[in-house]
Amino acid sequence: MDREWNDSQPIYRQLRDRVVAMILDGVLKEGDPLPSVRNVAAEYRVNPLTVLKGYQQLVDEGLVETKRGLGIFINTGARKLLLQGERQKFLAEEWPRVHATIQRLGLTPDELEAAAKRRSSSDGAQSKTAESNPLNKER
Amino acid sequence: MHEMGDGTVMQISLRVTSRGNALVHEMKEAGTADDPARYDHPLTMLYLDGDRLLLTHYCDAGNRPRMVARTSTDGKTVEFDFLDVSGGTQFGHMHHAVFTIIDANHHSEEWSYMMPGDKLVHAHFDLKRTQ
Repeated sequence: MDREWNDSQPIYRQLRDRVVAMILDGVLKEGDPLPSVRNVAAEYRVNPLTVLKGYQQLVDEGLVETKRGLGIFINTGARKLLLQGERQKFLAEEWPRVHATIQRLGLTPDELEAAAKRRSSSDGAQSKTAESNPLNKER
Repeated sequence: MHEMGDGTVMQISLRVTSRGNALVHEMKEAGTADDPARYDHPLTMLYLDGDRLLLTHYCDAGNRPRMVARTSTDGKTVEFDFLDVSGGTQFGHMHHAVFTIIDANHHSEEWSYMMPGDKLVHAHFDLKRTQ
C-alpha cells in the first residue's frame, strides 16, 4: 500500500479505500485476516485510532467481521458486495466525467484498449516489487 | 509518550500558551516529520470558559467538536462530554475524551470517535513523561 495520503478525505477513509482495493484486486481474499491495528499503525505511522476508524467503517459496510480474541477477517461475499457497490459508484460518479473526456478527445475504443493493455503490462512489472506490502506481512 | 506492545510509539505534547489561557495538546506518531499536510497530527486546545473547562479538537475529518469537562471527586480524572461541533460531520467526529492522572509522570487518555451511523470507536493511550 502506498504510504502517501491525500487531503481529499480523512486518512481513515483512505485506509478503508486501500483495503477495499486490495479485496477487489484479490490481494486480500475472503476469510483472510486483516493485519492488527498496531501493525498498521506502526507500519504507516498513523494514529491507532485512525486505523480503528478505518476498520470500523469496513465492519459497518459488512465487508469484514470481528472475531473476538482472534482478529478481523474478510467476510464471505465481501468481494461480490464490493463489486456491486463500486460498479454503481463508478458508473454514477466517475464514468460521466471519463466518458465526457473520451468524447472530447475523440479517443476510439481501439486506442483505449491499447492503452489499457500497456497499463496492464506495466502494472505486472511493478507488482513484482510490491511484495513488501504490510497487509501481507501477517499472513 | 505512549508505547504499544509492538513498539508503536505515539507522542503527545502538552504545552501552555497564550499567557496561561490555553493548553495545546498535540498528538503524533513518533518519527513522523512535522508535516501536517502529510500526517495526521490532531490538535486539541483546552481552555477555561467561565467556570467550565472546554476543549476544542481540530480533526482531520475537517470538523471541530467542543467538549465540556467534568471531574471526578478525587480530581484525578477529567472526562469530556460532547457539547457541539462546527464543520461537516459526514466522516464522523471526535465525541468523548477521558484524561486520567496516574502520577506526576504518567497519565492515560481515552478518545472516542463517533463514526457515521453513530457507532463509537475507542482508543486508549498510556503515557509517560519523557521530558
